[in-house]
Order: sequence, then structure tokens, then C-alpha cells
Amino acid sequence: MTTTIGIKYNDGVILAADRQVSSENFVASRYGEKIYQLDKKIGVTIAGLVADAINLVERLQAEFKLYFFNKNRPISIEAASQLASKIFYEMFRGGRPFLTQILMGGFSDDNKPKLYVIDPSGGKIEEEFISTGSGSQIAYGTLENGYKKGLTENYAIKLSLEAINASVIRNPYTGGKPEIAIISKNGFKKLNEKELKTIIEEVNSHVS
Amino acid sequence: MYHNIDSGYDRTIMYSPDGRIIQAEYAREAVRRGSTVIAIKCPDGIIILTENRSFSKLIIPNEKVAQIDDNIYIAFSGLLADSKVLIKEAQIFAQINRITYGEECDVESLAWHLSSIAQKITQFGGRPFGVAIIVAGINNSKPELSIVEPSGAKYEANAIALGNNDTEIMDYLEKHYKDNFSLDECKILLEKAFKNVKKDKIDYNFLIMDLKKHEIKKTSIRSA
Repeated sequence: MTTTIGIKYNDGVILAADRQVSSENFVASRYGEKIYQLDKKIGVTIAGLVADAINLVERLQAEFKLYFFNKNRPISIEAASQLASKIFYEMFRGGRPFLTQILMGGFSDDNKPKLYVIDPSGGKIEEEFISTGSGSQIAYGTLENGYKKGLTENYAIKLSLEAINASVIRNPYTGGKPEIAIISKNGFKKLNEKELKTIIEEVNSHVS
Repeated sequence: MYHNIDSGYDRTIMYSPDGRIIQAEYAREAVRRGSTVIAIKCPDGIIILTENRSFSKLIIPNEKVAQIDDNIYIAFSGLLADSKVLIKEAQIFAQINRITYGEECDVESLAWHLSSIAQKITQFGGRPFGVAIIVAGINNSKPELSIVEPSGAKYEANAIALGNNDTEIMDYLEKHYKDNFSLDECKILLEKAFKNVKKDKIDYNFLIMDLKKHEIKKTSIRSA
């Protein structure tokens, strides 16, 4: 009951999400957090059961840190998503699956940006752009239209914002302000309120 | 046959008649055969000096410092293989602590955990660990320095020397240490204490945890 978006651009990955937390037809919060940093250059969005998602995020944060201490290099996005997929699969076959779907963005060992989606059964797919959650079908309308290969960072941020906006308007379980994170060669960075505000203004002036 | 009442107690983890656990004392001797590690604490942070020696020019000396979490490092002296077991245990403990409480691990609780692992061996059998460990870290913007011995003994210190020439270095530190030293003064004291006993040229590494600059950095010093 969320809309999350991941977009790959020419040298990084953009993650975006709405901030509404829904409990059936009730809005539990309009200021939820759905994007998390897992490692220096790895970010994740969560959709689904919050408890499961947070548990998974904390487990992955710990695992990636241990990986770094043991091997003396940061984990690649391939290995990171593989581990997440394995955890999902083991829970799924054990009969108590994590009821959450995640998007994972980061860099491979040869410094190429990559974006993965992992579902509760452990299925892992690499994508150029993707959306999950109840508002995903609406977001796809915007994404399919606007996505091209080799986008600039600025364009990718605006595209993700437009897609989130469409879901906020048309999906009852998507709402609140958007949340956007950039994963680039400089690391993981969440846009603060001021930065978000200027981009939202830019997008709105572009639409009208 | 001649039978000494004291004999045999050094081969088991049992008290000798005068109340000592001699295997644990032998383990302490194993630490004394290891390379020198000196750590010093001051209000601005912690500095650890590790000797970088190997028995051949062709062999690259191992790191004597390991990162446990963002805020904690461990330095050790003694049997390298034994240290690996404790380091891995410490790293996992720190991460479990983070997941359980959502906060950084305390230096003291980590030291207690390692000490309880070492203690079990002196009571229930096995060979005591051949390493002594310095747990150095920062909690609530304060530097903390804990030491865990092979016997399981754990204590805090302002300055500590382990490994080769530990007693001479401790004597030197006791004479010259002041608890209001700055980081730079600590660094100079460490180098003096080290060079005072090591007459020939030996490489060494520094680990500096600087509270004011909010940084932890490693440097290696080549003497040749």
C-alpha cells in the first residue's frame, strides 16, 4: 500500500517513494520512512508489511558491515541483492515469508549502477526502472512514457517525482510528501526538505 | 619414585595447591612472545601503536588491529589464529547489539562478552586463548580502553602495553604518562616508549581515534 520507484540514470540510481503508511482503509501516518541506506553506496525502498521490512533492513545492514570487515571491501550490489534474495527465499520455503517487496540500488564491483527488485519468494530481477506497491500501475504510466536510457540525474529525479505525484492523486493508499534518495559515486544521499521543495516547484511549473 | 606435590597442575585447567591456574599463566607468556602493542587514552581520543615485524623479509606482517564496528577497534598480541576467533565473535556481537538495541555497542559490554568466552575455557577445559586483547572505542563521545586477558580478566586502562618488552614499556609509560595529554603528546610518548626498548629498526603502525576531528585513521611508519 505504497508507491516506490527506482530509476537507473547514467551514473547512479534514484529511489523514490511516497510517505503514507496505511492500515487497511486508515491512514496510520503521513510521514513514514520507506527509503533506507544499507551500505555506503546501497539503498533500498520498502513496500508491504513495515515490521518485516524493518527487520530485513536491519539484518542486511549488519550483514553488509560484517562483509566489509571480513573482506576489507564494500559489498557489490550483485552480492548484496543475492543475499537479500536468499533470505527471502529461506523464509518463504520455511513457511513464514517476509511480506514485503524491496527495490535495491547500488554499484557493481566495476562501478556500474544497477537496480534490482526482490519479491517475497526471493525472485530477483534486474531492471532499468521499476515501481512496486499498490500505486505502481499508475506510476508505470508516467515511467514508460518518460524513461530513456542514459538519463541525467536531474531528469531522473523529476521523472520519479512525476510518477509518485500521479500515484498520490489516483491511488487511495499512496499519499503524503515524496521521499527521494540518490545513489551515486559519492554515496547514498536523501534529499532534504529544502531540496525537495525546489524540485517539486520545478516539476509543477513544467506541468502547468 | 619421587613425586612432587606441585607436579601435573600445569597440564590441566585445575588449581595448583597454591591457588593458581597455571595454564592461564602460560597463556599470558604466549602473549609476551607476540609483537608489541601499546595503547594510550587521553581526553581527545585513543592512539594504538602496533609493531610490524615478521621473521622474514619476504613475509608480509599481519595486521594487529581489526575493526569491530564504526566506533570500536580491537588490537591484540599473541597467537594470531586465536585472535581471529575472538575478532569474529566481537564483530557479530557488535552487530547483534545494534539490531537488538538500535545503538552502538559499548566498549565495556563487548569486553565483558570476550572475557566471558575466555573465562569459560579456564573453568570447563580446553586451551586458554593465547591472545590478550585491547578493546578501544568511543561511547557517547568519550574514549574507552578495555583489556581482556587469556584468563578472562578484564580491566580498564589509561595506557597499556602488551607483547614483547611489555614490562619495560609499562615502566616507561608509568613514569611519563599524564592524563591531560593531547593526542599529539600521546603519540610522541608512544613512539618514545617504543623506541626506548627496541634498539634495532622496526616498522610500526598507528591507529588514531581522534574525537575532535571525528575521524579514525591508520598510518604506517617505516623505520628503514
